[in-house]
Amino acid sequence: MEIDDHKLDLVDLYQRYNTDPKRGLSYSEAQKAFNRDGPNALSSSKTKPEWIKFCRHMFGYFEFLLWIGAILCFITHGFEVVTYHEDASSDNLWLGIALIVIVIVTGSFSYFQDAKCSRIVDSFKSMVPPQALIIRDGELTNIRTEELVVGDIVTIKFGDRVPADIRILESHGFKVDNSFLTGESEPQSRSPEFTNDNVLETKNLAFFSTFATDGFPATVTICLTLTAKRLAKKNCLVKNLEAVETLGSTSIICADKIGTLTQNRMTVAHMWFDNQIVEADTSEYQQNATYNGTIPGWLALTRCAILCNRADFKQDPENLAQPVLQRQCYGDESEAALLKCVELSIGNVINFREINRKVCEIPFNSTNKYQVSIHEVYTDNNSEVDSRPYLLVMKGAPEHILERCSSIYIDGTDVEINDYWRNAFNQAYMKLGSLGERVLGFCDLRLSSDDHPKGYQFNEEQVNFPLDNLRFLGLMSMIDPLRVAVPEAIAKCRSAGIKVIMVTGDHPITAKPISRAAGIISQDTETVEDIAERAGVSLEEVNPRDAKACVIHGNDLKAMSPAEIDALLENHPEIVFARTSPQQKITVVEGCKRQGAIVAMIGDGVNDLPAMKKADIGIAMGITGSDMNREVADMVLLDDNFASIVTGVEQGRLIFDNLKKSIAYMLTSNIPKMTPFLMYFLMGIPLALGTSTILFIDLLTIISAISLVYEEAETDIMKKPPRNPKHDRLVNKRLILMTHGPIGFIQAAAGLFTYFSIMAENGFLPSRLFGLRKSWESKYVNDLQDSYNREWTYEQRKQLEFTCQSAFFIAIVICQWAVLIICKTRRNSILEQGMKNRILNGVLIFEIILVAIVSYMPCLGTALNIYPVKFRWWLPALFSAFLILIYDEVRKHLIRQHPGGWLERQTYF
Amino acid sequence: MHLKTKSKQRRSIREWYQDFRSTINKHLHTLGNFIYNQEHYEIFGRDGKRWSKLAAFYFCFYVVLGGFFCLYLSIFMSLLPLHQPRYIGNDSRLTSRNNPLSPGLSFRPQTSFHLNDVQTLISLSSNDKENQKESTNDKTEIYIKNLDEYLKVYNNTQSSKNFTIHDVGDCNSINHYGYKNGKPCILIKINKLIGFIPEVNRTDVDNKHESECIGIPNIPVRCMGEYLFDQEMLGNVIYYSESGSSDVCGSIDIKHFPYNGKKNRNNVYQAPYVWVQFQNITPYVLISVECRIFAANIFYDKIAQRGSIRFQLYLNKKI
Repeated sequence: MEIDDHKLDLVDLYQRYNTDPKRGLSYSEAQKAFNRDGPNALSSSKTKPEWIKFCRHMFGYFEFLLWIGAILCFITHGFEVVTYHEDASSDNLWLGIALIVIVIVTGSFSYFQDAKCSRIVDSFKSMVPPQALIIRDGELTNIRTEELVVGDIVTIKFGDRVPADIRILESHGFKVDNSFLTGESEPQSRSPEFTNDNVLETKNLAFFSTFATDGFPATVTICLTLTAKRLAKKNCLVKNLEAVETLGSTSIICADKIGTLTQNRMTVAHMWFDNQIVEADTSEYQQNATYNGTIPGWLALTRCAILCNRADFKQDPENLAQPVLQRQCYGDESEAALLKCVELSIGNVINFREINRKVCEIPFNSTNKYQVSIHEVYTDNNSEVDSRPYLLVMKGAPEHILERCSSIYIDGTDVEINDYWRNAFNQAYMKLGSLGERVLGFCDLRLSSDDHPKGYQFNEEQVNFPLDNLRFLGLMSMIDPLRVAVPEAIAKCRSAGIKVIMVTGDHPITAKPISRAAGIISQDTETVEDIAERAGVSLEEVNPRDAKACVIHGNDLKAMSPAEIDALLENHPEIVFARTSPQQKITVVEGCKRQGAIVAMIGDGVNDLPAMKKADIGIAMGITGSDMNREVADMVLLDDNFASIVTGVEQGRLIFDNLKKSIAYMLTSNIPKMTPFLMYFLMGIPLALGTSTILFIDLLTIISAISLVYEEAETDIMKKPPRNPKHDRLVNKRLILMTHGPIGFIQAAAGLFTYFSIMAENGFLPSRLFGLRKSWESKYVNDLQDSYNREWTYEQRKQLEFTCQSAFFIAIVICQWAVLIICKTRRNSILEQGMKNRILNGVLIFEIILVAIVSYMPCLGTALNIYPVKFRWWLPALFSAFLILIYDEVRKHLIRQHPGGWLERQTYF
Repeated sequence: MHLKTKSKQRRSIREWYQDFRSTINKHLHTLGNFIYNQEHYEIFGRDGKRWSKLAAFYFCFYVVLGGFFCLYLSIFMSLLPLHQPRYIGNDSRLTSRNNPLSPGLSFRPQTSFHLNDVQTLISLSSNDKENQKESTNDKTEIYIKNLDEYLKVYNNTQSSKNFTIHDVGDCNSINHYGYKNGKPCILIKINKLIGFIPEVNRTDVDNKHESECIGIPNIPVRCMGEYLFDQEMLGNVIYYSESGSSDVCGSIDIKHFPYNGKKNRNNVYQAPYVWVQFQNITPYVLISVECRIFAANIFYDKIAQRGSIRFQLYLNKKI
């Protein structure tokens, strides 16, 4: 298809698509275009039809082998029929049918599991639908990108995802990431100019972004999807399934401050008036007030805060219907915080402003560091109004405000400012500042009618009103408060051996108190500065090694060599990086990675993006995060709750533990399965375990192993340090030794004991069995003698052999029963863990029922060569199962008693 | 539309090979380090002390496990009955849900010279001088030896329940059991089953071939060609039984039943048998022979060889 949209003149372009740059498309036109072109999405041509997916599960590698086996069975049966006619045995026919049934059952099972998984993953995608801000019918509206049509006018801001292929009409410093299209890793600038005939090269086109996904083996997908689903319920959206596991091994979490640890919403925290600091009450119903709401000092302060304030609520009814704290405001965020505070405590702010009309205003600027406005005073007392008709209110940087004041309003009276009051002011200012709060000073002055009579023309240019000798009212301090669950979550991370590092663009002054409040720097650890202050010495005299915590300024970080950064990260368990640029955030993440840590980076802003990409796992905030963040992230916290990360880590660890348990369980049946064959070939003992029984053991093992995925976490899951990805792999030496060593051999012993006892009770004493293979397997020997000189035909001794094999099979199943129970825990006692995994309990019952059916049901047993087994032959296995339980409980007990001991190092997998 | 991509330049084969070699070397080094780490004196990731500790643990574990195994097995064995297995007759695995208890038949001579030999083929080669070369693999001597060996048991005359066939015709060691003159004698016997007594009184025969044997108070034994062709090629058959010789069927007296296991060990149990001699086999033809016994509680099954036995005869010379 030839594209010339980028070559056209803009006017021609508007005409072609019947649109207008200011008004956009009309709704009816957009609807028409939508019906014509369909949704704005990549056609999913790659999705395969369901029947092909089904066939893939029916003809996988393992399934293919079974099909071949089945076909061979039928062919053999065919030969038998041709040779023996009606005398032909139907063993092979039955085995073939059994194989096909197994293929179909397991194939359907994995197909349905897979379909379920992909449905869940698909549903994740629709949980954060990408949106686009467009102009339609002259209004800015948010719509889902799929609803975009050709001709829509789209507005894009920093961090947004390009919602469609677009022609640029106007732009300002616009850059796009084209890496997936052209492989260019640097962002490419885009502008309205037509620069190149090539569609990809020209600067006035930007393209819809896509991303690719990868596949996993089916079982792992099932585990990961189950966990992802569990996490989604807790508002933790996993975009990249692998991320679940990565999160589990995370050892360092780097968190941005604003919007991640804090609410990104300035709130008034403290006030200072009448020479006392009070906590501001920002609860919805003012139930937390620690001060009397009628005292004059407070009233004067709030009046100043109401009037000297340019912030306002957005005036749409939907916004106004919300609780005050969640309303959207116009204006500066500090002013919005003041507005919300006074709206909550006094109420009716807008009305109060209307009756106290503003007549003049000097807005805040960085040279003045104050803001002044003059209002007509409205009171019931007319003489008061006549004598002093105007009120001047001022707010700004506290020290500057105080300089302009000559008196201070204390307990309803004006007191002249002296050194005592200056000292009191300074102490309060310092105190609030040290809490990391942004402090504002307030003062006012009633202008007398002598100089400023009613109707006086105030002029902000000439400043024909006094700005000195004002009356100081008090201080109000604001803070971006911590999210509620953050300190608890950080404490949990710490007990789970995860280091939390704050990386913020904020000043060290604000970052440090917040990090203390959050617990990133814990209460009893000190920074170099703290030690210096406590000991009263200069910073240089303090040994940096004494300080466990540190706050690093971005500029210092810039000057450090990688080795210095490594040393810094190693020596300080509690670190805050303040005033960091996006580039320095990368430096921090890289430094952590150099230490061999698995790093998670949490952020909500575009400035966190590069670091999020660099980290092993990027986590974005769902509500406050930008589109780009959510796009790049491996995981999205839908409710912006930091505590969800702890859940994520727990689930990630759980999945790893459970996969380990599954694998351990699956491996334990290897030795008992191999032993009969080894003894058959090396010692000539008739085969103790047949092919069909092995097939059954494998089938049961797979089903049971999956049930371990549903196992609950052990109590220590969040108390142990994160795993070392280099040494603690999914399948490690200890796991292999543990499963193949003790457990495997107990099972083999159980099976062999059963085998030998059945043989002995039927006349073949163990001594007779050694080296018997050749005659035993010979069809021509029709009178094989047992230890009592009885003579067995080939068919009769095969009957005996199959009975032994059935008993061996049952013995393994019973032992695997115990193994499944011991695999539920790696360290805890099973008594502590309990039997709460319903699926696992179901599997235990299912196994016994299946074994009983296969063994005791007449037709089925004959078909599969599995014969009924006397109850007494179950007993050795039951005893061994008990032995396995005891052995492993003792082992785990010793591991718990001697943490880090020899047994743990050798057998804790 | 031309997509311009910054694809990686194609690496030359040499570069690729160098890459490959360095990767392999790295892996080999890691592996080598794992197998023997000179720095820490570790073999397979453990030094001598840790290996010996681990070995000691597993040694103790396996000694205990093996000890338990042997102990329990020997206790179990000592509780087994001495003279006969715990499970006999219908309790034992000689029967199953689908297969009733019936003894099989077996024959002598039965030998194998190679692993894959068909052990049910009795082939008689020429001893003519002109065919001397072929007789290098003559099996006749071996058949004779096999029969001599088997019959040793019956030479013990101290037994109270002796089994002897007085009229054996050619079927003795002196006459080479007829093998040297192309009239082979085959010994047919019933498998020993402890406690099994054939019910001969209610013999119910449904096959016309057996009708000739009805009325014989003992267990009748009959051999004939498996298929019609074999029957035509087989020629005359003579049966030498305890009760005398017949050309219709052999017979086995039920007074020899039941076998009682090792109780009879002292006076070695002599299992009853019948000689079957094939008088004039058609040479150069492979003949399949099926022998059967008949009793009310012997349930014939051709494939399972219950109450029957099959073997093949091949005569490689003219008489």
